[in-house]
This record gives sequence, C-alpha cells and structure tokens, in this order.
Amino acid sequence: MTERLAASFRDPAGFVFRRDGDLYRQINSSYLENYNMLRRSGLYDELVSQRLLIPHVETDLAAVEPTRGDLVIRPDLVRFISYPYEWCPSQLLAAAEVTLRVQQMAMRFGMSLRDASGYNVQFHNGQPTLIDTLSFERLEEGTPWKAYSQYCRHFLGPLALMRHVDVRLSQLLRTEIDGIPLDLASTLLPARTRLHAGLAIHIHGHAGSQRRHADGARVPEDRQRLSQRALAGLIDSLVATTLKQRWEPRKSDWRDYYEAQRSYTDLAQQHKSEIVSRILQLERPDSVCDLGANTGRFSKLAAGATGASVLALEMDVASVELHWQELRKDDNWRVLPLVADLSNPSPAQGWGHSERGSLQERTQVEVVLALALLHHLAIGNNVPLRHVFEWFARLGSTVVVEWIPKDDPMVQHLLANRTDIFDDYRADAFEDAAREFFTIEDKIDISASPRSIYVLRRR
Amino acid sequence: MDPSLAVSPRLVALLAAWAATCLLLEESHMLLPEALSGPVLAYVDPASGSLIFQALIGGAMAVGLTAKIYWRRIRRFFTRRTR
Repeated sequence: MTERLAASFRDPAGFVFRRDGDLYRQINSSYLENYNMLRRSGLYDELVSQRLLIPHVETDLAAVEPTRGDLVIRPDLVRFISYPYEWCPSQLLAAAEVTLRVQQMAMRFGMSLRDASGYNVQFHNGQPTLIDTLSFERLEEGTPWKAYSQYCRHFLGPLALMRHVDVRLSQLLRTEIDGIPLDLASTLLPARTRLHAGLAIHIHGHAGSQRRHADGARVPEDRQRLSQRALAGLIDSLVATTLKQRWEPRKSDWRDYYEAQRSYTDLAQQHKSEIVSRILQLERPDSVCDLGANTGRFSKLAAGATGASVLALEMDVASVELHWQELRKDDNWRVLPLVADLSNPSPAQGWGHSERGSLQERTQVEVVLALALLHHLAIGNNVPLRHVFEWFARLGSTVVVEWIPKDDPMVQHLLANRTDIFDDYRADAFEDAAREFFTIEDKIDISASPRSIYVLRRR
Repeated sequence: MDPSLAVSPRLVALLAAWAATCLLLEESHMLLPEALSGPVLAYVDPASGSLIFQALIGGAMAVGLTAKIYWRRIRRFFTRRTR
C-alpha cells in the first residue's frame, strides 16, 4: 500500500510517501543535480555527523511517479511529529539555531537552503533536526537568501513576540500556517523593539520593504544583488538577533511550579512513583504518552523504567519550558515535551485538512499515562467521564489512570467557586464509564492518600 | 564621574550606526511606525520586498560582519599579549 503524504505536495523537487509502515521520499529528476551536489560535496556527511540533518539511505525501490524521477530514498523515522505551535520558546529557538547553522554550513559547501520553514525541523532523538533533504540548492553567487522572509516569519517574528509581548503569541503560528506575517509581527511588537538593531532591520524594516514592494512587480537582477560577504553578514546578524530572543520567565513562576507539586505527602508521592514504575516495567511499552505531564516527573520515570519514547503533553508553557531545559541538562533524548491544551488539541489543518496532522493522529502510543489529570478534564472542563475514556481509547491500548475522589483537596480547589453539578463524579460511575471502552486489569490504592491508580486495557 | 552616568561607548556606536543606516536607506519607518495601508491582500507579494530589502541592507551586513571579525582579531591580539 502506497500513501502519499500531504505535507510535501507543494514541492516540485520530490515528495514523501509511506509504504508498509516505512517512510520514503521520491527525488524528481528536476532536483537530482542539487541532490548529487549535496551528497558529493561532503555537505550531507558533515550535516549528518553533527546531527543537523536527518540521515537517509538510497533504496532500489521503484519510483511512485516514474515519469518525474527514479530515485527513492528512505530517511530515518522521526518517532513523534510536532509542530512549531506546540513547542516551548526554547524549542523554537533551538530549531531556529539549527536552521541557521545548516545554512551557514551549506554556504561553506557552495549551497544554500531554499526554505526555512519551522515544519522542516523535527525533534529526532531529542535534537532539532532538518528533515527536508530536498531543501538544498546550489548557491548562485550574488543572489539573496530566498528563505530570508520565511525564516523571519517562522522563527524570528514568533520568538520576538514571545520575548517582548507575551509567550502565548506562539499560538498565532497555529492560524498563520506559513509563519506570522511580518507586518503583523511589526504591528504587535512594542515600539521599543525599533531600538533593537536586529529587530529594527529584520522585522520592522523588512516588513516596511515588503509593504512598499507588495505590488508584485518583477525585481530587476541588479536590485537584488548580494555579495557573498553580505549574505554571510545577513545570516550572522540573524544568528545574533535570534539568540537575543531567549524567553525569560519571572523567577516567581518557577517557584510556583515546584510548590504546586506538593499536593501529596512525600510518602504518597513515593508510593505513586513505585506503583507507576512497577506497572510500566510489566508493560514494557515502546511508546508512552504522558497527558498533563507538568514538568515531567513521570515522563522521566517512564523513559527510565522502560527505555520507551515518551511524548509529554502539558498545557502550561512555563512547565514545558522547564521540562525541556531539564531534559537538555540531563541529555535525556527519549522524552519530547510539547505544549498542548487537551481540551482543544491541535487540529488537522492546512490544504484539504491534511497538510498538518491533528495531535491525536500523531499520538498513537502503547501506554497512555493520565496521572493527576482526570479532575481537570471532568470538573475543570465539564467533560463527562465517558467521553474522557472514549478519547483515551483513541490514543493507546493501555491506560494508566489516577482516580482522584471529590473530597481530595485539589478537586475541592477546582470546586471552590463553582456549583457542584458533578453528581456522576464518583468511583463507581468512573469504573462504569471505563468499562464501556476498557477492561479494568488492576486497581492499586495509593497509601496515605484517597487516590488510586487503575490499569485499563482497551476492549 | 558617577559610574551610573557613564554610557557604554559600544551602545553609542551601535545607535549611531543604526540611525545612519536608517537614514542611508531612507527607511525612516524603522524609526517610526508606518500607517497601515497596502494593496488588495490576495495579490500581495511579500517576496519581492524581501529580495530588494536584502540588497539594501547588504552593505551594512557586510560591514557588520567585517567589523566583527576584525574586532575579534584585535581582542585576541591583546588578550594574547597580556597573558
């Protein structure tokens, strides 16, 4: 069975398809010269050795569209596909840095990136990696960087908005699928950013120039000449400007997170860890999704106990940021933390609703962890328990879920200023709802706590 | 002199260079916001503006990089001597 993937339909250089679970890329004849240059110049080897580009092997598989080309390559598989609107600020910054480092290295080998899309970077074994092998072309001396505008829309603009306005503005990337338009970024950024040389040039000045030449008239060759030194200077300036956009949360934010984790006594917390660890060691899954992962305590446990790839979804940007920074410090590449609001997860979008996959279709795992989460969905978001289990069943075959009774202080906290309309939020109703989609394999009470952990197997 | 009144010479140089670039490029909107107006959205082409803009700032970018490289060399020269 061959299935062409929608994400690459615009590219005349080739396209991605899936066959028997493996991912392949056909390289069209029109791109072959550039591909050969990438391989023969030594650029490919250099990029792969520095983990900046996804490695691939050439196959002898027959082309899907033989009239357009006959070379098929098989790139390494990225375990979890994620998108820029799901990344915390440091993840977007890391992806931006990789894009510019790739461009700098390509220039040394006489090549250049023709795209600088955030979607071309994926987290592969913890490292942001360029996945579009067909992004390189011969650098023609004296020409400007084709991807300059795209780089500013996908990376620099969003980073500057997060840094100087509000971290939640990364969510604009969800509606602006080809990056935040520069005139919009320029309008939203505070006036003081016009005093930052880098932002004044690459965002404000750049936006102004786009506005003035928006009539689409052909640009004469002599008006778009750029010397090699100027091109190198441009990329260097983008590196310096990008690195200045590091998002700094207030100190008090961090303290709040450590404090918030104290809803348990030490004894209960330890017992809960032991229970989850034991379950995971029995299950030995390849992949785990930790829903409501917070700063990743249980994601780390899951990765450590089983060696599984873990997707850690959390709504709070600062928690994801802290989680990501700790993973980098520990060099833990099994866990990928992402920003995700479970009550409104990333939709399938773009052309034909299929250019970018929904979070759900990218989150197919063996074990779903739903710890200290249920009350947020059922009470915080008014989602009936039956719907919660129906959704769990779509994500994975085994679910480890924590039941938090109504008299638990955290549930009471959610109910503090609301009418309690949640008559069905009871242990027996919880079990009944679970049984509609799962069989209950095990139930373990957490000592020194009214909570329990259930192991559910999909019917 | 009160140290808090001292202005970093690097900052002054940066500001002067930036203002000169703005004037040189006649890009006054880098200093002041520009009124929002433009052609019909469906036919707007941001690509040409990006290409022309790179050619415009190219000189400054080249000078910036050269200055940076020389500045590094000078600093290395002195740090080596003092060692």
